Amino acid sequence: MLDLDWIHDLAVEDRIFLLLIGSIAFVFCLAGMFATSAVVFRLRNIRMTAYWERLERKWETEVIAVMAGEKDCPSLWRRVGKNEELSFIDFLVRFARRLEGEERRVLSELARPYLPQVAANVRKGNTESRAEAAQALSILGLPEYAEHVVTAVHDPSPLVAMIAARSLAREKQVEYAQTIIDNIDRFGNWTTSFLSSMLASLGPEVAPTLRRAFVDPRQSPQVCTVLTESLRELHDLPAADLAAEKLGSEEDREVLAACLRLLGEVGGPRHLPMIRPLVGAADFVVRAHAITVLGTLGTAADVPILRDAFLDSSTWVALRAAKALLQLGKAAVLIELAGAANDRALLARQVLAEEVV
Amino acid sequence: MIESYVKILVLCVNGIALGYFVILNTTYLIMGFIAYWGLRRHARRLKLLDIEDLILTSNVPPITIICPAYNEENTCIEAIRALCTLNYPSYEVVFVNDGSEDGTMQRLINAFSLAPTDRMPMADLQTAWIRGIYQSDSYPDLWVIDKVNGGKSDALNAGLTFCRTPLFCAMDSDSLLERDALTRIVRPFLEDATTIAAGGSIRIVNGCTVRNGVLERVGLPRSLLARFQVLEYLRAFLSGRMGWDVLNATIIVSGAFGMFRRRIVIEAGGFATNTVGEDMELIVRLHRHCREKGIPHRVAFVPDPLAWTECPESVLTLGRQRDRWQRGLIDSLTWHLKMLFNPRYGRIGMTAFPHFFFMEMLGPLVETLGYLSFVLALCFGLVNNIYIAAFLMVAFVLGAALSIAAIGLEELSLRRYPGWSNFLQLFVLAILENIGYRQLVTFWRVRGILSSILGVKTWGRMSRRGFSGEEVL
Repeated sequence: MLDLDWIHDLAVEDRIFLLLIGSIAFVFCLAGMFATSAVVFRLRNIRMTAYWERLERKWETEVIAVMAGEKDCPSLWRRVGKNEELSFIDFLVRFARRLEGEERRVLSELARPYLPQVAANVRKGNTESRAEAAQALSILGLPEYAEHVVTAVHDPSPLVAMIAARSLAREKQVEYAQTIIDNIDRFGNWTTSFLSSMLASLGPEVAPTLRRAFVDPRQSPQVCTVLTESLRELHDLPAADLAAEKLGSEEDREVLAACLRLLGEVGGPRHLPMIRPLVGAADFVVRAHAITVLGTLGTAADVPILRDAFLDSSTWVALRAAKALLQLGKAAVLIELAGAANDRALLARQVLAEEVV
Repeated sequence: MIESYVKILVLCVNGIALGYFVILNTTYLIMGFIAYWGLRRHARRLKLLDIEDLILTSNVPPITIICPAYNEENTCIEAIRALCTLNYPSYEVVFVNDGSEDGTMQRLINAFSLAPTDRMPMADLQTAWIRGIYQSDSYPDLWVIDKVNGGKSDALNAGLTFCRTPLFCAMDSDSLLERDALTRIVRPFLEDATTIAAGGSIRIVNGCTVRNGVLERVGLPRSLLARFQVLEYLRAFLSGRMGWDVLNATIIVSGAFGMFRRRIVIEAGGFATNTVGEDMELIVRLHRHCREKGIPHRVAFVPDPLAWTECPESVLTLGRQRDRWQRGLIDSLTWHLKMLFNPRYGRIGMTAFPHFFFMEMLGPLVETLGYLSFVLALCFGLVNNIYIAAFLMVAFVLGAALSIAAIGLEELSLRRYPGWSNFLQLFVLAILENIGYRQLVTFWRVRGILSSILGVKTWGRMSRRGFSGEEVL
């Protein structure tokens, strides 16, 4: 036991002095520790850069040779040291991101002996290492390790789940589309455009699954918006009727706007009766989108509606109306509006000028 | 009798100053550790979600860059050329000529073949009279708003009025964005739909080589004053802002480079025109607005999108800048005093706001009084060696330690200062800045407090060298 009785024998001033000496020593140690850390970080960075350059030099030409059929996989495996295995996977992942088809298959084959180690990491370690493992498996280990990646989609961390879902989507694993859709609610903070692009990256084969999910009344408005946007990105024609049907029953602004955007791309004149009533919607976002669709699908009968919309209280609706008139080939109407003696004439002139640019 | 009262007063002030230094530096120390964790996490996440890949595979929102300028004829052409060549799929540049008295407007017209055009305001913000709107023939996504002088905030509001994209980037005309800065700063908006604003790191361009609006070589400035600012910026961004970001309590996004959600800024009334600290004031107001309206929100700091800005190299100009920053800080905090220790405003009201109020706003007064009373106490032999050692330790050694920690954070994250020479110079600066420079900055901040009390609202004359290094006024 450390005998500290001597401290009690000290005068108060001496105790303070002792405390101060200790504090000074601590602060100097702290400064020294920070300085050492900075130097260590720099040295480590230099060493890591050199290490990676050396490994990349060593592997890159070999990998290219294997892909060209000049060498076989075991010859490269022999060049991967015991403590370099995960670095090798890291290297292959970066390489594989830029490749597809047969070349990607060769890389997967090169990764094969090391993937069990990566697969074990999907269930352990911190968030980032779990996510990294799921990503590596989806890029290099499908379909053998699909189960592991799907496990990662259900990981308690939304980041791991998102990385795994995105990887599956990017690898066009359509059979897991439903798993991804079921988890969309967990990615609630990500923007709709990001999530819809992720789903759309699965390719046109996913459209039937998306449509089925779209008509499911249990879906939350956010998921419904994502699904609609994905269908729009895929230019899915059969989705148009479903979206038009939704216009009559849906109340959520984002879902309505997404449905209108979808109709603007894949809809037809038969959907106009469902779209026109929304020009009078209370929400200006819905009105603006409805006007835009009229510009794409509308007929001469819609010109009076667009003229009225040009005087809408929202400038955004008016802007869309002016653009819609141009899209319908009614530049003459817009020129007439540009000559009017009201505030909106400026907007008409702007749209006409932008059309020229 | 009076003498003994004075002695007691001096000793009390000394105690308060010592306590202030301890609390301030301990806070910075904690922030440094939090920032360390945040930077490591950020670096690992960057590896997981490659930003280039993210941009290519997602529908990224279009952006409007609003760049206000006043008498920038020597730098505006290069600045705009740099802005027109950024790496982002969809953006437009709105350059606002805020009533320049030099040849800024004419140079812009000639250089970019500007032609007058019509453009409808999309928001109802009051600004000084707009003389004309021009669009470039050579860069159709470049627009110039020519208006009567109304100050930086007014110019930003003018740009915001004509902004048609969901996000806008507010920046200074003397800042230079790295080519991928937009792709990096937009990331928090993709990852979290509740993000309403995001700030990036600002670095000092003095001493760097810039050619055709592109940063070619990073180096330390020649002037000692500017070098100290390099270190200050490292400390402020990598330690302070990163730390507050991890705590989700960011209340500053630098006016030199920040990204905002247009709708929410307009809803909150745009930039305040009666303050010189419009950047911080807006963020504090946005927090307040969102909290009061129950809008989920986040203000993020992203360390890797870099904007390089020119820093003052003369004592006078630097003094004016720090005076102005202090006045801006005071406006931002006193206008929203209701948020102080108010649980309704969450972490902002309970942590960041009190820190900035007591440590950053009132701190310079305590620090100055501390220095003065320390000198007085020394002269009159009122303090013993213990106190002297304690004061020097917390005021100087701990200060240096914090700056060294910031250098470590730079090594951990961005590593923009190559070569051992730069690295070692930063170390020396970390020690030197505590002797003289820090006290000078404190003096200017106190002057800022006095200016604020006197109601000074002016921006102050700033001299610029431009990216090529030639001084212009």
